[in-house]
Amino acid sequence: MTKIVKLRHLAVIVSIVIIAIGMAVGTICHFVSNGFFNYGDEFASYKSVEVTTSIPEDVNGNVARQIASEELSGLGAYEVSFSEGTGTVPNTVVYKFSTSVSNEELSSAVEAIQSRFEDRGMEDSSVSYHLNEGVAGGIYQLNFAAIALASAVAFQAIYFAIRLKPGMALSAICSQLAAVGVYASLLAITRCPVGLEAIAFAALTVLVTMVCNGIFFGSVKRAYKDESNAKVDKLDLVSGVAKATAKLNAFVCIAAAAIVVIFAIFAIIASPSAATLLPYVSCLIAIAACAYNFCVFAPANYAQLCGLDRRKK
Amino acid sequence: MSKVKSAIITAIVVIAIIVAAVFGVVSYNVGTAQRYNSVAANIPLGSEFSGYVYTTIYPQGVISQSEYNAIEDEEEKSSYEQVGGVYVSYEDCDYGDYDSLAAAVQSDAQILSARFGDRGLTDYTVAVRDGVTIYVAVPSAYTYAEYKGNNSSDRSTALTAAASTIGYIVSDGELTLRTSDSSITLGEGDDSSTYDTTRFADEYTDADILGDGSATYPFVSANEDATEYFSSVSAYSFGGNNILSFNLTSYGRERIRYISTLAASSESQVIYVCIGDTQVLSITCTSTIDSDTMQFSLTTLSAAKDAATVLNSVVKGGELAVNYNVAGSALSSTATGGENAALMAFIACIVVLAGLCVAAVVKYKKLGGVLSMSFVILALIMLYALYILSIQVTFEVLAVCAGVLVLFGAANLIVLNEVRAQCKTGKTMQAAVKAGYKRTLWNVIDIHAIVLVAAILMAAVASGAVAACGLILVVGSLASYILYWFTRFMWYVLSSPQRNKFAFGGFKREVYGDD
Repeated sequence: MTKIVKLRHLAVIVSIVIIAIGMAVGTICHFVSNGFFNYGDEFASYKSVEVTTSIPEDVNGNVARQIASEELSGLGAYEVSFSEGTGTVPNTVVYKFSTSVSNEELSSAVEAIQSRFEDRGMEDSSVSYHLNEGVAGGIYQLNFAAIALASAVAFQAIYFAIRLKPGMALSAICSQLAAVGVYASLLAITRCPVGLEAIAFAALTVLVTMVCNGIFFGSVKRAYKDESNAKVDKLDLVSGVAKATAKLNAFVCIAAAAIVVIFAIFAIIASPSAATLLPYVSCLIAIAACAYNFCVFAPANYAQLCGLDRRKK
Repeated sequence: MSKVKSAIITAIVVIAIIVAAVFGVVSYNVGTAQRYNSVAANIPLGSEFSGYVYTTIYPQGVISQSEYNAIEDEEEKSSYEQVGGVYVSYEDCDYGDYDSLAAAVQSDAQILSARFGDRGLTDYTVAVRDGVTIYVAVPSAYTYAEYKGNNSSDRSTALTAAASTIGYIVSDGELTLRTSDSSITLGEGDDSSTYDTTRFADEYTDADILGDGSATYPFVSANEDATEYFSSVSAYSFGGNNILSFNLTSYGRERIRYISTLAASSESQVIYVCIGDTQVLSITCTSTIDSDTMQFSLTTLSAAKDAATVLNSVVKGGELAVNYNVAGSALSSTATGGENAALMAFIACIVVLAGLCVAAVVKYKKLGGVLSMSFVILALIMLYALYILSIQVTFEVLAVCAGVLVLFGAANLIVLNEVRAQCKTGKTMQAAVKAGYKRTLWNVIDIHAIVLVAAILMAAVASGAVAACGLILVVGSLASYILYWFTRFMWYVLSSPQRNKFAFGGFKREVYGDD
């Protein structure tokens, strides 16, 4: 922590560089690839194969599931769902694939399924292959979430300015921006698929940063008040508090990460596919952004503000 | 505190926890025919745990693969052109070529996506399929009992509600106010005789709004735009009533006064509020309505929200350009996270809770037991809150619940570290605890206050998953702060009979040479 406080300018510059790299990668991908972020189902294009069988021909939908599984499971579907039919509503199996899966492979699988239905004399069964283009409806949720979080950040700044110090309020705003910036940059750099859950995790990033800022700046204020620290240099004091609170903040991050890993393990047990892990990956990225923020950025940034005026505590 | 008092209080708290936990998580059969489904089994689940309800809407002239296969007439078949996995007949379609149809469908998909966003669902998908159809999916929101078939009647209700949401939101056509009384015909009694009353007349009188084949008629001239009557439409719940509220423009107030006078004097006394062929609301009108706002009570909040969403969209210009058919019933898929995703998530929750309890006991000995008790109470509070507030459990909501446990753990870690530090200064346990809580009081209040306000803002301003997270966070942060003091109380209760109070929490006192 002492090193981070000493190298505070570098720490802040590194944060800005991470965000800049993320923005650059996102911008380049926006023009040459699939967008600023690697958008998930809600936003992006995907391919799907829909297999339907009627109730008299396939009572529980097992035939549809079995044939679809045999012909499609080797093509790397990221989501498989089944709807059991009732009465005149047919059984439906849907396999979803990313756009990188070739049309030829999917078309030949569709033809194979159709011919197997014909061989079995299942005349009411059908299989179709679709290209789906997601519509970015999440933008509406994003707008309202952004308004709510901006208000929360503003409240935190006012609260810190009144309860603690204006410098801490300013530093808290900077660390919030940095946390969200690093989170967005990491999403852009890692090309982790971004769905609606990414918006919720952005909100959680801000909340966790708020908690950690509260712990850090509260401790700094307490250290300022402590008369035994009267002759201690301001930067040394910030460094000492950062070191003391690092343990607590590490608990928050390690506990959060451990919980996410536990959930991910059980999710994989429920559905062993790479796609299952995607929300957990974006959650871990959010935690990493928080950890980086209060281990590196928040102390460095506040130390930098303190460094501008060493005389006042 | 005496040993007896301590034991009684501890026993009461433990029994309360056990009872709450049993009713919270254990489902069992009552006799042979009935089943008690636990609180956990009655919480609505998100799409990753209970799947989607989805459908595909087809513009007129576009049919699915199975519909195409069912056509026996070869001549009719030849009029269709394959586009991806669907078939288009431009003869039956309102658009003459693929490009214009695809552009109109793309535009409509944007409008539908906005409607689903406004509806405040935790999750939804709108996708243009093969360029000319629209695929829509919303969470089925089954509870675990419904999903597993242990509550089939409610499963059917949930499926109907989700399908109804889709049905309302994909409504196409113009906003009209209609009557079943043929005595009130287009423009009757309307002074605006210059209106073109033929423009939509055929379409409107043919529409089977009531679903029984009977005709309905617009109250006013067909080219009068009813969207100009309303500035906005909203839905809210108040005092147990689910309200659909219309804000009227000054022109709208004048026109509604005229229409309601006509309706009140008619035989049926009903005004049907319709979007195209879909009846959104049926207003029984016994007297003239003359107000800036109109409020109507609907049976469920979900129905009120559905109606408000589609009406508000149309009022603000979000009208679909293409006429669509919904192919068949809405389908309910298995959970996207796997068929056992909900069960696995529940087991993960138990493991996380057990992990936190074990960590607390390892670190703080018997005091860790007190902390564990608080962790379990906090988890139960959130479980019951999810049930009472009908918050749909998604992965994000579970992440927030875990976050609340971590917040509570952090708040206690702050104070226990301080108590440990105070013990090392040579203070008695009582003095160390008092000083520790006093010194960290504002720090703990700060983090809880900030989180609480942020949570209230998220719940009030945001929508969908973020709002759901905000709502549970409001409950969680309040509970965390209350349990912070409950932990202090139980620490006092349980440690009172103990002789070595330092050993109770695994603390060590600094012993000076001259002591």
